[in-house]
Amino acid sequence: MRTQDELDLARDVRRIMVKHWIDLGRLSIRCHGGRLMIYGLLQRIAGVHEPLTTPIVEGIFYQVRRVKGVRTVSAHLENWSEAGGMWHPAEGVAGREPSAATTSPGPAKEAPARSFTMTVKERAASP
Amino acid sequence: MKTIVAIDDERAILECYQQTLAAAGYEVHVTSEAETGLRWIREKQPDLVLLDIRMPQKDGFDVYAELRRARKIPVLFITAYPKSFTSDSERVASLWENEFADGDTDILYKPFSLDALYAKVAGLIGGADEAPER
Repeated sequence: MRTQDELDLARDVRRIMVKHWIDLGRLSIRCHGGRLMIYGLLQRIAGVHEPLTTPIVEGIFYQVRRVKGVRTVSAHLENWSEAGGMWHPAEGVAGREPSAATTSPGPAKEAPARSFTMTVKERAASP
Repeated sequence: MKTIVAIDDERAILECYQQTLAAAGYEVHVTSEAETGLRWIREKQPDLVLLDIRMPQKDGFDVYAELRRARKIPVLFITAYPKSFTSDSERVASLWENEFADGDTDILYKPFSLDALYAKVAGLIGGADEAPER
């Protein structure tokens, strides 16, 4: 896959996240060789009253898998885990906020991340 | 070589960008003055702009509006996470509904890990050694 295509793909995924009011500041999205990597915290920006639920998260990943060029989605999330084909909030980390006071860069303290990799086997014929 | 212009009023952060991103292979130009940054963006035609939001002379939103009027260019806001950063804020809501919706704008909160910075930059413009092809 060409580099520009991968950048376009990552852009499309960011668009999906923004549409769902996901806080991009806590999430990283990269694509390499058709493999999409999403890691960090999957949560909405503060002030959005509707919480992220399992159906919404599954809907997000459904849309992400349908982005043209995505072959594999590798999600490495701190606050959501996948088990038995369903996404669940990981206990104890959802809703965590980054520090508001520190302004210097440094090693971020991260909760153990939950990994999940899925391969896109089929794509619907409709655009 | 991919070029990055960084605008932030914190010297320590600018030094961090200069050292780490230059070491990763990007050409990095840093300034603490918004007007200088805007001039560099016009002159150097960078691949990416790193932009602080809270700055004394001209805030990041104003700089963003100006640079977007001139040219479509990926922007990574890097800001301390403010308590006011909620969808109840008109500006923040506008960011998500309008500016971020194009997928060319991203955000990273301070403090950040270098891995997070590299990932955000690479996610927007690719690695330093990856030349975009068309």
